[in-house]
Amino acid sequence: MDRRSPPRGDRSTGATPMTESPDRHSKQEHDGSRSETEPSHEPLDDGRYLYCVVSLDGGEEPGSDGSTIDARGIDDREPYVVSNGDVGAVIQECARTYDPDDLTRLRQLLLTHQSVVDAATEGFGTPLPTRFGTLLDGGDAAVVDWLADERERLRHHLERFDGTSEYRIRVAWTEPPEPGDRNEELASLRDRTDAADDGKGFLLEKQYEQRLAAWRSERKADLGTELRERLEPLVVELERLDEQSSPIAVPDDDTTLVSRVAIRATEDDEAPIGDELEAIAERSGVEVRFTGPWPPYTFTPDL
Amino acid sequence: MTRIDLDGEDPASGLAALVLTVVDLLVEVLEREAVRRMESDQLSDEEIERLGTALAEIEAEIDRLVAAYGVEEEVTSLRNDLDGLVSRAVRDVSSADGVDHDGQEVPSSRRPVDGGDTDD
Repeated sequence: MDRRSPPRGDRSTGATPMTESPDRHSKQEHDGSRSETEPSHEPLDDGRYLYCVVSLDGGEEPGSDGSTIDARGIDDREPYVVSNGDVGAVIQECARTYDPDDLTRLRQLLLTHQSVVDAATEGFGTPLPTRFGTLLDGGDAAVVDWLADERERLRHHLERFDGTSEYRIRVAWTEPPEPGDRNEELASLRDRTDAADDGKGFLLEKQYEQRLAAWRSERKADLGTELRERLEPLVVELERLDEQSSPIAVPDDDTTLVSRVAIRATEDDEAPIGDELEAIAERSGVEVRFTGPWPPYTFTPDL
Repeated sequence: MTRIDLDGEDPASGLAALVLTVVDLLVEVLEREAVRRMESDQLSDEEIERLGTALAEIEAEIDRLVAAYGVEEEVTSLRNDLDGLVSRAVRDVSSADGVDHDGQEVPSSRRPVDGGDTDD
């Protein structure tokens, strides 16, 4: 197994966004296929870029609690924490919206966003991460008011996620499985194809390809089911993921995706989870990628 | 999603990729139907031979045109995009019908009320 770059968040806490939904950035569908236009930069009167929501001890007056984050933010600004009771928001000043057309620039911004969220995790424990590009206008006061309005729901999810992190597992074939002689139907079809005349041989070849694809699809489903059955007793939550790629993830390679899942688990669960994944990774032609811990992007609901 | 450049320096190439991808998909449908009829004994040996020969020639011609226009990558990419779209649509329809993409029945509480997205 090996580690790869972090997954991107697919959901967010629903701070009132100032732009159209930034999903198209954080949902990794930014593939360079958009038209070549100037990036839009809507100016903000007193904007605040929201990185995540964190749990606090409480007791401070609402507003900036003086805490800083040990990371540089987007546009090299300094993130800080505003609080309202026992919930806080990691934010920074922001003069404009972000809508980069350039994939390299987007990648840089996502990594910066992630580094701030990671630093917040170090300081405050598991946060509720927000999507890249989540903005509020109206200064610190607007953020404090939003925290007050959403406090109950934010506390619920903060407590639910406390002590856990997200991990992502990707199982792939480095080479598609071959049925060999054990599958009599396919072996017989292979023999008939080899013996047939050109026209019939062509159709038998197509038939063989279809049956082989169906057989491989069954093997893929079986392996995906086995993965989930091995993990479910060990984790708090598990969610299957579509075949998505992140703009900052490892580029597509020659492997064939079998299954991707996101799990939420404690640090103590890492070792037994690793043991289960090792049992799968040991098989010939199978590759397992196990990344994390990350903030619970996949499990944070829209608020 | 694959980008097809119809306004650039070589729009013919982009258009060729689109057309050849669509043709390739249609021929695949024909091949599947031919195999189905062969499996269900609806075709004589002569018909099988004739149909297989014709489809083989069409496939060879498509490959030749793809190579001639130099659009192998675009066609492959478009096919992958379309396969993904179709798979997702089939999955959504299956979920709306109460069956997930493993063929398992989906509890009614998880089924969409209005046929919307059903990420599982």
